[in-house]
Amino acid sequence: MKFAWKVTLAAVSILVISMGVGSYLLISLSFRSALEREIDIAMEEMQMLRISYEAVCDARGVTLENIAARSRGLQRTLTEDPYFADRQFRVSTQEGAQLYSTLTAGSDQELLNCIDSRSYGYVVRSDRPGQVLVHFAGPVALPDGILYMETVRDISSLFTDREIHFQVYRWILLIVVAAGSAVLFLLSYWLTMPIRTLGKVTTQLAQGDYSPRAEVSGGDEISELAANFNRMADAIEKTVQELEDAARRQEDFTASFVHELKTPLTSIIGYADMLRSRQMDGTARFKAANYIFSEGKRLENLSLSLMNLLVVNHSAADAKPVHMPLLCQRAGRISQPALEAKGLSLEVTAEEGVLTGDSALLQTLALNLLDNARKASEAGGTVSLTGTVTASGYRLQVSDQGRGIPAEELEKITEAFYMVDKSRSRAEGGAGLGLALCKQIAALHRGVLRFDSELGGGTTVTVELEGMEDA
Amino acid sequence: MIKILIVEDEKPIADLLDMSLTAAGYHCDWVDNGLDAADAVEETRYDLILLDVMLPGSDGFELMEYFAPLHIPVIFTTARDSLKDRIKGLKLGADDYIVKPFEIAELLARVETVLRRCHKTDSLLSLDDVTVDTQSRVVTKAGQTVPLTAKEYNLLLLFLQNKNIALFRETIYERVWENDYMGDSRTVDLHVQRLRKKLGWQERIAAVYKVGYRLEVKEP
Repeated sequence: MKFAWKVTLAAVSILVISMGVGSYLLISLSFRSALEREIDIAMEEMQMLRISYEAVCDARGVTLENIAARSRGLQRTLTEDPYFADRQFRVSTQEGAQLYSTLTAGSDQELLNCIDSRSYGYVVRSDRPGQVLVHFAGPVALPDGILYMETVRDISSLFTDREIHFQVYRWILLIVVAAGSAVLFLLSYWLTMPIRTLGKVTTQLAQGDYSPRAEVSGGDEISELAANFNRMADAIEKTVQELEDAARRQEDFTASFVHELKTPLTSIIGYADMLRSRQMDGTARFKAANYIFSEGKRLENLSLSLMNLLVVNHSAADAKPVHMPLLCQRAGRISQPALEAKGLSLEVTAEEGVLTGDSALLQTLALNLLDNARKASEAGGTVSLTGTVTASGYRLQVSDQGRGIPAEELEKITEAFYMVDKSRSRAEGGAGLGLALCKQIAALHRGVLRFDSELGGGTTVTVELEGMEDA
Repeated sequence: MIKILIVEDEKPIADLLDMSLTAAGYHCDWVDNGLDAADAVEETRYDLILLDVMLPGSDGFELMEYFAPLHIPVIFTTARDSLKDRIKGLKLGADDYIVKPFEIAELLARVETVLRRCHKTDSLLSLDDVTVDTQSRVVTKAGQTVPLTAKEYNLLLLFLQNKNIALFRETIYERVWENDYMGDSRTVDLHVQRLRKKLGWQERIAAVYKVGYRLEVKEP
């Protein structure tokens, strides 16, 4: 059952019970007091009648002794006097013999038996449906004894009124409950509206759509819940996004890796297949064998680069103070032959400075950057390696006067397997992993790579290193 | 002559395709990027395009969308062998999908099949007095129908598609039986012998020592 329905049902139940009980009590109470009042009136009437009767008897000198003899006269007086003629009453002796009666209802012997010379009694009774009477009985004092008088008062209207009240009240209750239910339902529906909207949003979230947010209005608990929910949704969306990004990067890496692996394999397998199953002339045979060799070399390169990358990713690097000028000079010496072979000159200038880090990895970083500079340069150019001490650590800079990197490619060049110029890079024996490796090494030394490049005007790679944290 | 356009950014692979297909009697042109491919297709009427997926600039799937309305048969040659990529390639209208690395026999067979399906080649293959109608799958020798089993027919087709090429037993097994070779060479030998006998090709189909068989045809 919906919450709004529950609230409505509960409230309506309380309304019905309280109104029903309240009205019943109210009507009963007012009925009871009306009944008491009627009885009081009946009693007063009876007293008046008794006193009047006693006065008549007194005036006529009627006693218990002579009442039988004088009953005819007494009766006439009573019948002729308009006061008595209008009233219904009965007078009887102590033994129950009736002396006078104008009662339409019968006498009540039981009631008479219950009273004595000093007490009154009454009974409320109904002789036929729709009629309720209050029947009074009391003693009439004569000089030498007592008689009994009975009076009757019709109080049916009291009961009819009560019935009518109940009936009216039932209608009122019905109308109030109907109207109240409608109002209460609308009210609770309106109050639970934010919960429902929140529910819809959570459903969407549960189904994997992380964009919708709950509406936050006002400062009640539900708004607070919505605000908290939104914060949670933000956190989830962010995490999911990160996971998806990581998964996509992983997928991209795998796809590129498979491609890089299969491309040389295709040539190797293809040419080998050709050699073994076909009669070929000398030139073709040499070409095929050469391709097998060069593509095999390429695979070797790929595996070496990958190994480096894996080592940087997974091994605990050795954090030791590294004398940077020495490292730069050594990197320069190693690169020198390859650079000279291409007709390039190398300039190494390094300031005195020490950085905490892994010297082998730092050297790989410098060598890779120098190698990239070599690949980008034409004969006659200059490649420079500069080391500078900075406030936070040490800065390595490698500049060339080569062909530069297009601005739109700059963002992607540190991705694994990314190559700006694939065919040229291939020709130089690259696998597209060098800068990815450099980035990893720099990150390990709390550093970043920055590229400043002008198309056709050369590239400067700056590595700001802070050094590893001391072990 | 059948003209084939090779769209491939790796020179070694492009050369491999070129050498294999030229030896099989096709004329090949090579381009290494999407733009040149589009230009080449506009200039020359090609019978088949071998299209790499990972190309610099635009990828092969994008190029395929460009080629599709031209109704030139296209075979993808790619290292991407996920089912998703295969389906994508075929849905775009490619006629076949060759996953790298591939064997030359497989390449030639697939090229031949696509060309035949697209009616680029004669449906009649013939050597000596033997004629194979690839549409009705009927083989005749000197006008007489030669009854061949399905496997023998496929074997004959494989030999005709790979003239002068030594076919290894495992290659034959994988192409004809379409199963991984489990080292049982007798099945292949038996079928080759029956084929030789039925066609009278004892000399034509030469056994290559320790390797397999070769259909020997003198180059014109």
